[in-house]
Amino acid sequence: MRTDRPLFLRRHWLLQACAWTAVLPAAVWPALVQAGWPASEGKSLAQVLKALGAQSLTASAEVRLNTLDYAEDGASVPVDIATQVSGADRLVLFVEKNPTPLVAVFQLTDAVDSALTLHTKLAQTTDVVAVVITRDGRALFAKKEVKVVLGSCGSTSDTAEGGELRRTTEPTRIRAQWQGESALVRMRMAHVMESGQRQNAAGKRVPAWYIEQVTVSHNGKTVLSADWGPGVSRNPYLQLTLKKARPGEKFTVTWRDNKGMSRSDDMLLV
Amino acid sequence: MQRRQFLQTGAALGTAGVVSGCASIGGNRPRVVVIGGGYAGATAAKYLRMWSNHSIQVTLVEPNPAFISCPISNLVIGGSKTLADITTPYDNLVKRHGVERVIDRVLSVDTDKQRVKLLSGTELPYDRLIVSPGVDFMWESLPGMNKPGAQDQVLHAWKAGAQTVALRQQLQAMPDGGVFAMSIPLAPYRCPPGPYERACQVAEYFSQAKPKSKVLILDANDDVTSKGQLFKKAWAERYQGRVEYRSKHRLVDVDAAGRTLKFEFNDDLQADVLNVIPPMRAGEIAVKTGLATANKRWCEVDFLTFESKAAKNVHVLGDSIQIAPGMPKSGHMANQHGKTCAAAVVALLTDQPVNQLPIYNNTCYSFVSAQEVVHVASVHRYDAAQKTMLTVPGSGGVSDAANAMEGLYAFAWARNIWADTLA
Repeated sequence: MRTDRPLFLRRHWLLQACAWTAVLPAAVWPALVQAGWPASEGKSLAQVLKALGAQSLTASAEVRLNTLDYAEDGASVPVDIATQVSGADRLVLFVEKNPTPLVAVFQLTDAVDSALTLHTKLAQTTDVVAVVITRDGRALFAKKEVKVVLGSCGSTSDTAEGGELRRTTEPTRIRAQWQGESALVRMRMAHVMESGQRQNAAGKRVPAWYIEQVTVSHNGKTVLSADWGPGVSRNPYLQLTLKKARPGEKFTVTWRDNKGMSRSDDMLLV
Repeated sequence: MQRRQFLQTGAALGTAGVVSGCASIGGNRPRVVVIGGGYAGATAAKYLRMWSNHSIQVTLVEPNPAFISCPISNLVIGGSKTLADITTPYDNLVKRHGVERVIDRVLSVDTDKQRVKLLSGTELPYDRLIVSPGVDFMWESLPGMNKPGAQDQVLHAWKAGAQTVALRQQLQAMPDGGVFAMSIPLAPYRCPPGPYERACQVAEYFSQAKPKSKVLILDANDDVTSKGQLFKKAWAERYQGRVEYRSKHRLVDVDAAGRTLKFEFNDDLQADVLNVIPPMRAGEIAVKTGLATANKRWCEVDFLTFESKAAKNVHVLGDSIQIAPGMPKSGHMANQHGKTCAAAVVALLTDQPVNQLPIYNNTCYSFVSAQEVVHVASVHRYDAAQKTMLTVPGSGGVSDAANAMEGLYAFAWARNIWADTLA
């Protein structure tokens, strides 16, 4: 019997640019990301991986990438990445034809399965590439083409301008499903995730505004951290599996965006 | 002459049960079987007969005794139209056009032997098959809807017919002060603006008959998927305080007995009348035949002929297909698929060249009240480089505001397309 219940106790959020460095070990963040995320613009996957410290790049059946064949709307495409490779250290998601191809770099720990789902923007029909970087610096990948087809029966309404700041103050929503000793946890953060590529109705470019760092902790211990670029979908959706969890334990999601805003939401697993 | 030929075919089927051998050899006339008599299939059947000068035998397999239109069906739920108003018999396809009509369900298709097997046991050989079964619901994504009786209590009313009337009856039986909660799946689904039109129709019924009642829209999408500003204006002004729209509410389960909706992230919600529009995929026979190759949900086709990318001599039309950019799953679009495919199949069966530049349009009217309407229209043209249909830049558009004149146009559109499809 599957259970699917909301788990929440208290929520708080921070509007402090400086709070982040205290939360995360600086060593997690690769040089490429520290240099500014758009650094992946125009770069090949091989160049990006080199910057991330990986030595070789090999296609591997041990990397599983599951996503749509066709995306009716490239704004939010679920991408599942999973691997059984031993020594898997980081997962990288790369979308070849996006303006900023590097979408996300996840730092794994032993506390979570090497299997994640992230909703991703695809600017056009493109190859999506999932890379597993091992502790000894190997890079194994799988790729799949997704055809982007915008469906329509009329225009969708534009996001109201000015309503954006309010959105970022909404809590991250978290739900868990118990699977024996482990827990599948889904998160939806509230953020506009502006790519910096979009023009508003007046033809003015809407400045980039996106979550760039995320950390997930379980009982105060970091179980997953990530660098994100503007290619993560609006109201980011992330799914992971805690290998061992019990009801009553604390689960925390913290993010920081490129404008220095951050928030942190605590939940109790129930 | 045509009538006699039709009768002879009918008699052969009735007595022999199984028609053996290849029809094009046996009868010298190519034979097309059409599965599904909706906007796409009925149109294709009629135009195949007309454009081949009745030289192609056409068999239409459809279990329903008459055609019931999804467009305009929200007005039956609102109470300003009846089911009879949106029902058209299939008689003219048979009498005027010599389409052979079989009231049955398809059990399976053998694409190698080119035969369709019906539930009754009859087998129909074909030279070309047209599969237009519309959509089926992905009930496996809502476990509680598979419990006994759940689908009778919580209605979709997303295939016009008995459920349309039943949902109307549930609204009539609901006490004043109640809440009607409608769940909308993530796009793509049949008729993008349909749910929002339905919300307007129910709100109008409530404003007349149950003024303390409320419409709650729970949309899995990030925002209204079609005619957003026009619908939001109707809810804010015309139905002020009566309609509440909530986005990002993806339904994951339903407790039908407890009249409760369960969401991926949001809290459970109980209401007096639930209307669950479930996630959809291509009609079951298309999936079973292995035609639904896109996301295991929709059927990929060659847009010059609508021939399946998965099976030779099989064409797929209407809501079952993997759309081209900007192409909605609508009745009007399905009708256009029907004609484009009919022309291509006539050409293929008579060794004529297939039109290399199909161009057609979509029109979609939505009733924000019983009289006032908003529209969206678009023109779609084949792009040889991308091998797909693309929206012609600058074509079509959306209403500035809801108005009664377009209400007249909308009813005229319905009469015309029903005639074009079936008369």
